[in-house]
Amino acid sequence: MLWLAVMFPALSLEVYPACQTPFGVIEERSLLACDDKAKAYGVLPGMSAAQACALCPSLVLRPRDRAAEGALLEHLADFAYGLTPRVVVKPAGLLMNFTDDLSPVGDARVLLSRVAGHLQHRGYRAHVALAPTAMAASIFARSGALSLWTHNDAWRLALRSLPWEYLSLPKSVRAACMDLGLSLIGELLDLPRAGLRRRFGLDVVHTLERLMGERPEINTYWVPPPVFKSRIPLPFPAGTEDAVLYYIRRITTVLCDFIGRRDAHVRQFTVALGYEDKTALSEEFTLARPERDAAVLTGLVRARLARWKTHSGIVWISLEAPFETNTEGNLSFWREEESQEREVKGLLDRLCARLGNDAVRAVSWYPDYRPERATVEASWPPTDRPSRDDPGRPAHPLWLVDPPHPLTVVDKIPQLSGPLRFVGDPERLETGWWDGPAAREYFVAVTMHAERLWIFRLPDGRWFLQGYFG
Amino acid sequence: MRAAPLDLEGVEEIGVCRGWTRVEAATLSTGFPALNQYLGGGWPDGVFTELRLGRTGIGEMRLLMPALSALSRHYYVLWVAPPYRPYAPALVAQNMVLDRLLLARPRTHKEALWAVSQGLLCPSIGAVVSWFSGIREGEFRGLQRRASEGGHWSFCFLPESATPQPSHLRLALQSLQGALRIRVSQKAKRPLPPLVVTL
Repeated sequence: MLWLAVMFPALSLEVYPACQTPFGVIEERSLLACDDKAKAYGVLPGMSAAQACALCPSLVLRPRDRAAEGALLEHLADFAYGLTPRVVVKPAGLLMNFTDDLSPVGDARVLLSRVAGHLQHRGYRAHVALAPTAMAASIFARSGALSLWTHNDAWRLALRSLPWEYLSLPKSVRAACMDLGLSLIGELLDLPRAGLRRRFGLDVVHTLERLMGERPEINTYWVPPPVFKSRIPLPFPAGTEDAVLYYIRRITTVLCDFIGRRDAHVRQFTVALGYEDKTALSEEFTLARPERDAAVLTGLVRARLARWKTHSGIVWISLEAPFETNTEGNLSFWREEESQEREVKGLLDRLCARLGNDAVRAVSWYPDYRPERATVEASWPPTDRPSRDDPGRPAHPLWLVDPPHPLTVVDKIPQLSGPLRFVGDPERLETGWWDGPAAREYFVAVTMHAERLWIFRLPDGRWFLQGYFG
Repeated sequence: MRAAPLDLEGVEEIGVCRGWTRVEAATLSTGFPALNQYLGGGWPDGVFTELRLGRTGIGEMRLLMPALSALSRHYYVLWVAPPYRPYAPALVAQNMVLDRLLLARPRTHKEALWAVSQGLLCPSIGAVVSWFSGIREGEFRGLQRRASEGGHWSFCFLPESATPQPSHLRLALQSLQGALRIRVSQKAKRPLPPLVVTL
C-alpha cells in the first residue's frame, strides 16, 4: 500500500486571482501567506498586518476565504478521484491511496511526475510525496521535497531526520518536547514507549505508531458529490423546437453515459434554457421511478417543450441532476408486482411531463365529517395517507361539488331546473366548531330529470348543492 | 335488486392467461346479472365503450363502480377529466382501492385525448374512464384502436347531444324512477330491446 500526498502551501493565495502588486492573505490581523513579490520586500508569514504594510507599502491584503479554499480542494479531489477511488481530503492537501488491486501504481516515478506536472500546469503550487503510510507521506510533502519512498526502509531513516514540528501534536506535548531539547522525529521515536505513554499520553504513542506503519490508520475517504452538471453554449441562437431538442438529446446522452458508468439513476433533474435577451427559464422534472435511459429523459423534456417559449433565440442549455447509486439487483422478472408499479410510474412521469405536475392527482380520505374536508385531491404522489378503518358511507354521493353551489328557493322548496323532491330522512352534521362551524342538514333530493342530488340547509334557511350521486 | 357478488377470480385468470393464449373478448362482470346477460358475460375488454347520458347524477357511476372496484384490486384505474371531485368516503363504500385510482385533469381537449391513449397503452392500467363534452369521429377511432391494442377496459362518457360515434358498444342511459334504462347497441348485432337496471 502506498500513499501519495499532495500539499498546497499557497492554497490561501491561489483562491484569489493573480495580481500584479505584492499580495498577501491575513487571518486575525496576522499575515498567513504572501507571494514572492512581497517576500522580496522582506515580508514574512506570521508578521502582523501593520508590520507587513510598513515593510511593503504597495502590499494588497485580503482576508482568508476558507469557503473558497474548501471548494478548490473539492475540485482538486475530483481530479485525484480520477487516479484512485480512495482520496482523503486534508486541511491543505490531499492523500491518495494506491493499492495493487484497486489502483495499480505502475511505475511510481511516472505517477508522481504526472500528478506534479498536472498541478503545475493548472497553476497550483504543490508538494508531492509518496510513502507507505498516509502520515509519513503528508509529512514528506509538507517538508517540501518531491520525495519518493516505496518499499525499502529508507523512508524510515529519512523520516527520522525531519523535525517533529511536522507532526500534529498537542500544544503541551510540543512545549515538553522543546523542554527536553528534542528537535527531530527520530529522537522522539528513540524514547522508550512506556515512558512516552506515561508522560505524553496514549494518543501521542499511537500517532507515532501510525506514522511508522505499526498501527493501522483510520481515514475517511472522499466521496464525489452525487450531482451531474453540464451546460452547453449553443454555437448560434436556436429558435426552433427541433434545434433545442437536438441539444437536449445531446446533453441527456452525456448525463446517461455519466450515471451509467457509476451505476446510478436520476430521480429528478432541472433543465435550464438561457435566452438571447439574458433571461433564463428553468424547468424541474421529477420522476416517479429512477431512470437512466436518455431516450426517456429526452421524451419527458420533449413533452414539456411545447409549453416553453422558443420564439426568441436560445443561447445556452444546462442540465443539473442529482443522481443516486443503485445497489439493487435486476430481479424485475421475479417481481411482477414491482414491474406493474414501474409501468404505472412511467405512465405518471409521462402524464406529469405533458399535462403538468398539478394535473395528475390522487384521492385521499381524511377522517372528517365535513364532506369538503373528508376528501382530498392532491397531486401525485400522495404524500401522507391517513389510516382508514371506517367502512365508508354508502349514503353519500360519488361526486362532490366544491364549493357548494347555492340553490334558489321558491315556496320554501329548493329548485334546480324545477322543484326538488326529497328522498329519505335528513342527516344532521354539526362539527368543525374549532375552525368555522358547520351546522348543516343534509338531504337526498331528486330533480324532475331524476338526477339524485345531495343538498344541505344552513340554520339560516339557505340551500346548497353539495354533490351528485352519479 | 342489489349488486351481485363480484366474480374476482375471473379477472385474475384473464390477466394470467393473456400471456400465451388468445382470449377471445374477455369480459368483466358488471355486477348486475341482467346486464351481464345482455352484454354476453360482462364488460368486454379491448373495446372503447361509449356511454351516453343526458344528465349527471342519474346513476351512471353506480353502474360502473362494481366493475371498477373489482379492477382496482389488481390494476390501476385512470380517470381522465372527471366532471367533479370524487368523494373519497363514497368510493371506499363502493370497495374502491383509493391507492389505485389516478386522476388526470388535462386543460385542453387534445391533452385529454393524449392522456386517454397513454392510459390505454399502459399494461398496468386496468380501466380508463374518460369524460368528453364532444369528440370527433377520427379521434374516437384512434382511441378505439388504442383500446384494442392495449386490451384492457375503457369507458367514455359522452353527452346525449354529441355526434354519433362508430363505437363497437354503445350504452344510452336514461333515468327511470330510481332505475336506469339502458339501450345497448353493438356493432354488427341486431338491436336489443331496452333494459331496465335497478341500482
